[in-house]
Amino acid sequence: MTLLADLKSLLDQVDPTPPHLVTPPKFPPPDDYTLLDWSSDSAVAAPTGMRGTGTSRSLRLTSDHTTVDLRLDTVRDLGVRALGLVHPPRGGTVLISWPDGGSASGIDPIGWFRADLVPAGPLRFVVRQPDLLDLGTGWFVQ
Amino acid sequence: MRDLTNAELVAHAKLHDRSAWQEIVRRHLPLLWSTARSAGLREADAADVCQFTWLTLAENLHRIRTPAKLSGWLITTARHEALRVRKVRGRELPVDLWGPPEPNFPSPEELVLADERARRLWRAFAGLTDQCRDILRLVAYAPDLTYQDVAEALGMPVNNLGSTRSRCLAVLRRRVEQEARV
Repeated sequence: MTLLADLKSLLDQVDPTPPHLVTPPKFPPPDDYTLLDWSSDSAVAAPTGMRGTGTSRSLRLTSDHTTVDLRLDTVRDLGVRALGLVHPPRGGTVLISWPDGGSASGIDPIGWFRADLVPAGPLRFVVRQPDLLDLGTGWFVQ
Repeated sequence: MRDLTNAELVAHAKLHDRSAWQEIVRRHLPLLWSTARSAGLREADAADVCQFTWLTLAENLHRIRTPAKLSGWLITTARHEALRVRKVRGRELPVDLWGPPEPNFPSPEELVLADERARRLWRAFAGLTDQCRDILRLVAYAPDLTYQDVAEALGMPVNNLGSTRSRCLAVLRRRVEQEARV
């Protein structure tokens, strides 16, 4: 056990945890939503590019009655652009959350929504449609 | 709060006790950080994975069936996302922190280690297989983890874990001794 204790001490010296992470993040209140199924994720199917030149990621998320296609473009040092399609289209709003903030984007009559330059890092999308339970992606890192 | 078990901390956190959250973070952050870094993530991405893990815990706190297994749940959650982030970032990986050092020159990691004993341990650890490094890192940071927790976190069969862990530790000890004789 001494060797493991020495190893822990060693790892703490070589790669210490950044002090700013010690403070717990502000937790946005957990929304009451139904988790969408992740049907496909281009990041898992095939690497999409090199960090530093920007990356694109395509997601398809589904529930019993709704499909959400999401394209995320990471723009170096600026953030993430999101373009999505909700189908079938029913109008409504997409709520985008990040650890210390959020924004809302309207869904147009065809089902499209977009958000320009949300912060890279942990993100969560919640689709709010009239007369239906909210649908959410859960948190993920982009 | 430091005397409470993980299950008790989860119970307090469900009641929005901020100090319980702080203790959960304090207790597990080095483990999560190490888990994300060992997946090959650069610092900014590893920090995102740590934050992701807390946010996911906050959303799922009421769904955790066995709060006593909080540590295993956190590691598994962080590791899965870390591997996904690594794929998102494509082929560009940071400098291999865990890779073997250059034979004739001290590595940057060695330079920060003050004494020869620590440098010997680092060289011995860096020379282990990926699997051994992953196992020993987890048990070094969280010796209370069950074999089941470690196996789930690393995607290994639980049957082999006990013997593999013992073998990795024996190899590490032997290599440290060899380093001392050089």
